[in-house]
Amino acid sequence: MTPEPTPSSDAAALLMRDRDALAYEVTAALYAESPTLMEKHGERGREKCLQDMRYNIDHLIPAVDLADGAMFARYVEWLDGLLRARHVATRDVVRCLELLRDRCTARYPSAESGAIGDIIDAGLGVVRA
Amino acid sequence: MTIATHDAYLAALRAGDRHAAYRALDAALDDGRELGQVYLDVVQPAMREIGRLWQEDELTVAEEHLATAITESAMSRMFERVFVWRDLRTPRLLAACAEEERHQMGLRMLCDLLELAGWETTYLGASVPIESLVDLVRKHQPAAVAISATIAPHVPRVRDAIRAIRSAPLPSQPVIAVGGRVFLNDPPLAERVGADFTAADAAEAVRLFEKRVRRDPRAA
Repeated sequence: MTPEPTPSSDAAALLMRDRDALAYEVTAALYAESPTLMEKHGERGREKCLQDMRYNIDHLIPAVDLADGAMFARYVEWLDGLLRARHVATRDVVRCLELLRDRCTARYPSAESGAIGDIIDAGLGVVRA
Repeated sequence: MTIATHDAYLAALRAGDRHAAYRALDAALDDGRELGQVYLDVVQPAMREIGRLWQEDELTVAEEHLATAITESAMSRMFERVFVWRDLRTPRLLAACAEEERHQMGLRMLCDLLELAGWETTYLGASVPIESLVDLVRKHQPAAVAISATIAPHVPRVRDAIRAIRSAPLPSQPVIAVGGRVFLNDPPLAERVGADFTAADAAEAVRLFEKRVRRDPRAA
């Protein structure tokens, strides 16, 4: 009954396995490249960013698994509205997603990172003006 | 009338005023509104607005939870007021939120409206682990199962629950429906997770269950 593994389902399994490590790496990279974030949001902001990154990956996983870019795009649109109301700039959302895609490209074989990249790009399409 | 009730109810929720919330809904029932109408035209849009206000940072999580708690108790009150005892209630529906899912109100509305249509419903509420859900399906052997999920991360759990029910040794397979925001946004997803159908709201779900389970042509 269990369906055959595909690059999408394998990629989703990798994201599930590496969720916390990826969230940490992306948060660290984001704060390293933009020191103003620490001035603006502080340590509490960084904690929240880490939490949000885990949540982003939680939403990325089913979209990757089902190869459903629209599913992730709807989430990113919702997230951007939520964060803008809390004074987080859209460009930071964009950068988070770009960094996540770069980390996945660095970590995973091309079939899996491609499957992930397609879905992240669908999300980026909503927030890139 | 419904718009005025909606505005009064929403204002009561925003203020966290349980009694004002009760009064607004009591007035709607006094005015002859049916329970389904109050659920779908007053309670549901008001709760969606509460969710939007949280998203816009106009309400805190605590205030949002207070609105939910008030609404759940208001629904219980209204249901008791309109419920009629019957000796024979059939068919049976078992309703559960996907594992980890906590948004249970839509499922509760579905159960209440099916009860008014004469069904026997077993409402399990939030976050039901798959194994125990299947166990209860085997015990109760319902004609229908409803599974709810609001956010995408819970979709694989819905799919796994449906697979587990479909492969369980049962005398006959229940009709399985899915609902919740993630399916509302993308109705074809219902079929991809193995469900028989999804519906735009609780009233449509009642019609579709009546049609598929009772095979009632009037419900078509």
